[in-house]
Amino acid sequence: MSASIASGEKTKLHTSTPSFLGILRGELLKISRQWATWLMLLLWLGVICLPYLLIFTSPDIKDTLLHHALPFFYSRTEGNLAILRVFSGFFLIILTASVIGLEYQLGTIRLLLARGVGRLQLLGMKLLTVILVALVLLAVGLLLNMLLTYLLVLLVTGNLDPLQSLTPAFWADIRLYVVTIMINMGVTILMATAMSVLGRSLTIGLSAALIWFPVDNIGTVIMALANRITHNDFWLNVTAYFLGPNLNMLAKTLLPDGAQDIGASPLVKVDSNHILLVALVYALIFIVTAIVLTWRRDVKE
Amino acid sequence: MPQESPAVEVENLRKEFLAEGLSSPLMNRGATGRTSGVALQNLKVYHQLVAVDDVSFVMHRGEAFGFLGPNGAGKSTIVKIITGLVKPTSGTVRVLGRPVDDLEMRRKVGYLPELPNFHRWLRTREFLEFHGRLYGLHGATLAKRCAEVLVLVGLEGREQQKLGAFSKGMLQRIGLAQALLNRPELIILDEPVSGLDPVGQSDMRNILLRLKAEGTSVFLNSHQLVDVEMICDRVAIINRGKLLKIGPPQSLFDEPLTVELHVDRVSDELLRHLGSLSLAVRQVEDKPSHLLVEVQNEEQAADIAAGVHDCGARLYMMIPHGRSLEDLFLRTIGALRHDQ
Repeated sequence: MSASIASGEKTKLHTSTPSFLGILRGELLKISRQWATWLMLLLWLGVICLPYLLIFTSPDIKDTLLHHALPFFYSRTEGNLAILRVFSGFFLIILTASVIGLEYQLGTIRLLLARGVGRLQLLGMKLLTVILVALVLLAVGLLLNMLLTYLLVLLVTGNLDPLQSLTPAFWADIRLYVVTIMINMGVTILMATAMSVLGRSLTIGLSAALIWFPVDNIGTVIMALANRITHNDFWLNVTAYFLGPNLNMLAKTLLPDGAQDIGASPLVKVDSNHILLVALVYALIFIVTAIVLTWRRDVKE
Repeated sequence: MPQESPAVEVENLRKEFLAEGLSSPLMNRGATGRTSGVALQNLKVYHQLVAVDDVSFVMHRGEAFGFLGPNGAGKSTIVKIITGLVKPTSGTVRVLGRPVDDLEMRRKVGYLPELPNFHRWLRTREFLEFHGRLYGLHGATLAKRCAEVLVLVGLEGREQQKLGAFSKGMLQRIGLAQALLNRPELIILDEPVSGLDPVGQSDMRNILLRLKAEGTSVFLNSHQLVDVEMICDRVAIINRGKLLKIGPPQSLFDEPLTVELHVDRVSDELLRHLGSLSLAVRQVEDKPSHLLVEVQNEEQAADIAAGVHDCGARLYMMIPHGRSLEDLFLRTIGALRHDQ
């Protein structure tokens, strides 16, 4: 009797297949149990809230809100969304490197792959986990910004009347800006994924991913210097293909009336089509690198 | 009834790695001592390191198979090829009758890697549930299996403890627990007792013996020769990527068994008679009533006891001098070193 039960149970255990939700849940569990995740989230929240505190304490805020509400909202929202874009990028780079790179660094990748989960299935699931977190992060960031804006207006003016000045064009611009944040997030996640797979450790993956944008932002300065020394436009033209500077300019070129930009820009004029193409090419290179290396390379960890 | 496929079938396996090193006469040799590539004095060069060289063996279902070899012998590379982590340069490997990249087959295999390092921020129960879900287990089945394996490895009551607080030995145990979650048909263990105290080693040995008794095929890659000898039906000795010996431990012993006899008196007749029954007889220095008799096997040892009585002598004690797997291993590896 017990033998047949054991045999039946064995068959059941051996014929079970990893479920999409089961693997996803496992990845989310691992993220949620790391104190580093929550610490990063806390810092991210602080960075988003801080500008509102500065605005709230500025001396002419009431006058600006009462007499120049629309320009104020344009300026502040673009600034705050730029902060959301940049710091969400940092958060996602660290998270992606942790989700993928740490698995190699700890050697736990051996267990996962020996388990009967496909290499690409596992990579896809990890990527999906980070994308889900990114979407939640974006939604929370947007809601928080809206909430803080409402609070700021209410506390400064005593009512929400300045919000009446917001036009449909404003909301359309904001929607477009949010799309640029999503594009930024997507490329950033893929870049961090490629670096983590390439480096096969949290340390290398994280370092490579974190220095990518500073390097190509500073790269524009070096290219400008090279142009001055050599008087050759090649150095300026090459900056049109730097990922970071292109992404910095995306919102500015995509929005009808432009937008504030943070960080370096390409040293030649680029339009939104060019930027989107550059982002797409980089994204493809990152994803192909991650897939090929995951699929083909030996796991020696 | 169709014949069951072997647990592991390895045929003409070869693995070359691209290794980085400085070009000097000493460093330019691979595991097999053979390399190819361009060598420039004191420059960093890449060369092909042959980690596994034409290895073939079969591990039968239900048997415990020991894999022995010194560090750098190529054992772990073979284990990684069997577990699908490393792709062979050439040769074929089939596990439970299927190719190594067959995901369905993998769900019937348990694996405990060497020096396991787990997600230390997870609690015991969370860790097992995470791995259970990777097998596709969920709900009551998963909860039941988690509880069962924790009892099996002696970690019951520690469900809420974080893995970060575990000792090395406890990590080995939880590693074994995750490998057993799916009631594997084949369990592959890479140095399972490293870091365990004597009690832990004994517990691990008992668990493996129990698994073997239940019909689970056990592939044991270990330096603990005593464990391998106690648990394994057959052993393979590998060095420098090559398989040197394979078979049941007893069949691998090619040197005679020495038996020490303590008798009441040693006569010429006794020496002659025992000499005719054995390979060699000699008296122990300073112990006139002690004899060392070399026999081919244990059956012959019984004849020796009868032979003592036949000569009218009294046998006080008969002590077999152990032929351990350790001796065999050291001799095999040592002979190879000597040859080179």
